Amino acid sequence: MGTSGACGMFTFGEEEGEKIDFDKNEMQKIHDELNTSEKGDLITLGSPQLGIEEIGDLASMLKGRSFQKRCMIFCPRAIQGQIRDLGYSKEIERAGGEILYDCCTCLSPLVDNKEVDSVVTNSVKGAYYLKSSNKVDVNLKSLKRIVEEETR
Amino acid sequence: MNVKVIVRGKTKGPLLVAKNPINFLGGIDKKTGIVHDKKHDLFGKSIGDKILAFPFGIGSSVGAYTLYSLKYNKCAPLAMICIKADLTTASGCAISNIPLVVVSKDDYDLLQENKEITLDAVEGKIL
Repeated sequence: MGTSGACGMFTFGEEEGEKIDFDKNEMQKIHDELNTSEKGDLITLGSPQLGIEEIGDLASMLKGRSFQKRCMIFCPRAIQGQIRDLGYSKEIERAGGEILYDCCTCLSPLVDNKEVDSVVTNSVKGAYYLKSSNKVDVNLKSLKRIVEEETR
Repeated sequence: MNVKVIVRGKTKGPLLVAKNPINFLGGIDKKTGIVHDKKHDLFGKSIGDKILAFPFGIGSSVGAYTLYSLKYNKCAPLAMICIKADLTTASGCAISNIPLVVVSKDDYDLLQENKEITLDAVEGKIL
């Protein structure tokens, strides 16, 4: 159930969530541990899959720009029609992005360590599993930096 | 010791007790059952053929399929004891026929490493 993009998440009652101590230094430390490469052979956006708003933001950031390497973008199939009708997928595909529906960045055979050494992503979760499951290096940076550095 | 049964079954074997939560997808080798997360207190140990006690599962829900792979590769735990039942661990145990029970934090702290126990996840007892 948890792995399907088609399921909503529900909580019952007013129970407080778990609280953890977390500060900027710790965030930087984890970022530095996960960021094992200066560059990447391809780009993945997703993990968790991008929602309609994130796809909309990406489409507007990509106006007039094109990816300089392969970029895979992971989405739930549930938003396929909407992002097509809003013109987002056309803009992303024009920029060279490949939109993939209902599949996982880290568990599908799309990122194979026999073919790529390192992957650019903005996903901290993706970075963790790309390293531990796919055994590739990761260049972890913000979406803003990815657009600045990986598109023209 | 009183337990709450999540997945039914009966087994006996030695206890392996973890301090840290377990990320099955990221932290366990599904072909061998060895903990390969260097930051985990069970690093280097095999969870196969043990009654595995850990506080709760964390990380990707695909961990449920890691549990199924462990069972398929004959290196799954005999049973599991948690402090709280998370969806990944519970669904993974259910599809893999691994008995799962929940105990209180106080009872969890009484569990001794390597001790042979009998887990009755039908009546809800640990002997």
